[in-house]
Amino acid sequence: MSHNIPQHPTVHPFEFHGKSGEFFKIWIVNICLTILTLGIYSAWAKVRTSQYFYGHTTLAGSSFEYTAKPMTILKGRLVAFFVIILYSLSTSFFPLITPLFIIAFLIILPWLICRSLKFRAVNSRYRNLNFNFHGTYGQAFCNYLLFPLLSVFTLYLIYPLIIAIQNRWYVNNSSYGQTKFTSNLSAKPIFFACFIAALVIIVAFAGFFGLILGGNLISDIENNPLAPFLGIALLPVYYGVYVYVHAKIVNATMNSTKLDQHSFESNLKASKLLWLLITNTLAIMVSLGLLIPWTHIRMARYKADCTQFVATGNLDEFTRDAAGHQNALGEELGDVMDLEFGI
Amino acid sequence: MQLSGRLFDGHTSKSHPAELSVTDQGDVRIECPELSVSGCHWSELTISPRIGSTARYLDLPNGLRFETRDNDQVDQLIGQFAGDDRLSWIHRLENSYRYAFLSVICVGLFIWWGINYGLPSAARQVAFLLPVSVNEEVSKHTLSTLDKYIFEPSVLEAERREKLRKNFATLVASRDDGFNYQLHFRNGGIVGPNAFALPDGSIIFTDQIIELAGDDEELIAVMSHEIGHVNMRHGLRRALQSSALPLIIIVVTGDMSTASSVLAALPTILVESQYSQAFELEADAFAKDLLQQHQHDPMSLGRLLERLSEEHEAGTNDWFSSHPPTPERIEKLRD
Repeated sequence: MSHNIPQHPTVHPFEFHGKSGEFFKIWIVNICLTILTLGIYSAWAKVRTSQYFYGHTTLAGSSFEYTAKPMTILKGRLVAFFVIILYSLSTSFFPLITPLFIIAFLIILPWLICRSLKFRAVNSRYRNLNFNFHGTYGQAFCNYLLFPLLSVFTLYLIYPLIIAIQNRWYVNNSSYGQTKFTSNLSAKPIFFACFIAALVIIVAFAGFFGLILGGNLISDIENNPLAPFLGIALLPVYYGVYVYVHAKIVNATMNSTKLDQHSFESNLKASKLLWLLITNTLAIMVSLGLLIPWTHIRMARYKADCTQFVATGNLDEFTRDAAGHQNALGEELGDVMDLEFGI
Repeated sequence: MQLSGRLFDGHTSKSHPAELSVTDQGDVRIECPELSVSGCHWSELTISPRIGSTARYLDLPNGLRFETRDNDQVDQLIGQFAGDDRLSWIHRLENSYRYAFLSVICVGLFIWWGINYGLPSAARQVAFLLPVSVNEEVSKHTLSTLDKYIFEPSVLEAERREKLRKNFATLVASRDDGFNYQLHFRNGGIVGPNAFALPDGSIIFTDQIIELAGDDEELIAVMSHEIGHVNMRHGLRRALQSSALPLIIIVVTGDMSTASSVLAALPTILVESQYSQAFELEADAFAKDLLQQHQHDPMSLGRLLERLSEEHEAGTNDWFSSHPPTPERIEKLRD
């Protein structure tokens, strides 16, 4: 790529074209077939759902593609299924075994993280070139186990720094074709976001209990049947704070990521995200779950709307990297344990 | 027939506008101003399955890939010149509101059936298949934990204990279900008047419930109810059912993260309280049989339930309560 000629950057927005009605039909048929096949179809359902979202996400006129094979995912799912059965049965019957499970889980966790990220990257394609991920066990061990453990001694005060290190590791080990992503994410915006979040929580707590105790709203807290539920009143605050920190971290990470000389822009707004989350939750409850597809579509649309790719020069010059095969075990276990990595 | 789309060479990210034309014999020719591509036969292409209105990818034998949005034409060509057609019925299901509606009904029925019959009866089958010793494992440390944090030693006089133990022994004397039934007395503390059955056969009476009872007949009735919980393996069945619930939520929603989200909490609580109510009724029915066998009046259980509900002054919602409403239980004992 020539750096000699000064080039004007072109902004390519990410676009999402999925439609709620169309996705609803896919979603409900997937569930129905999954039930009728006693869960076996769930691997196909996952691939079709992922491909629906990838395929409807476009950048500069080309769509993304999810290329995982359902059979690979099915094998991973079966293993995950038996691990979970084993875990839940043995912990209900032999509670003393639980620590052993936790230790075994911690030992394989870094491996799971790497496999999960790699599987997703290798199976994501854009313009017939796939992404890749090169992180190693040792790095994942440090970033996700050792550092978080050490941060206990700083009373978690350096946790924002660890988040920055984790995200930097993720980006710096990702590539598109042969081209590496790079990140110069600084911990400063994350520290700032966490500071604001902590402040809001402290003020909300103080205000809340001041109101209860000082304002005599509830005079007899010991015997009031509502007492155990008072904490729930603060739930919107936790929700809001979580969304705020999440949005700031995603924005900071995306905005400091580069692919060669190209860059990204992300401007997620916490208020809009919170609005989407709350209305989505209410919609799902009121519709007994039938609006779940709609909530997925509008969330994907908002996230795409907030993300741009700033190309400096040509998008045609990325080249292929030889990618090895990957099995789905890591990703499926990661999914089951509810690990959400990446951005 | 002609398909328009883009061609990707697989080595670079360059996107070439291209037209793919197919003759009546199935010979494929690709016109691309920027690349010269040799033709092939339609049957040599690998074609991605149709999913909604997303683009299709046709892989050519030489590593090139053609991306097109002309989905209907692609399907028509597959029908005409063979190609992998095995999964096309899925798209036909996914593309029709009639099948979507059918699916909603099908899924709704499945959820209703699974919660009311499927899961409880599967758990019952498994619980009765497993050896009795499994029940002992479930509750190995429960009593010592309760003793540590909740119960105090009983202050009941030895004479009364002895009398109740004798009654208890008569009740369980002829039982050969493999459980080692034992009666324990504790001061319930904050728990108040209550009786518990641990899955291994330990039955615990609090001093408070003994005080509350009008006579020993009522206490014998409570013993029978608790023996019912043990004999019907309710502890084990509860454990089995609650470990299966998240798995079912995952299967139904097809979304691993839903099972642990806030949204899954409310339905889970509702379902588990329904199960718990069903267990109480089952134990009541068991107690009724056992009491009649030993020439006791089943209504003495009803009298004690009435005392308990007066004590609790319970105005709790039936849906969330772990116990069915007392009038309903008494009605069932009377029949």
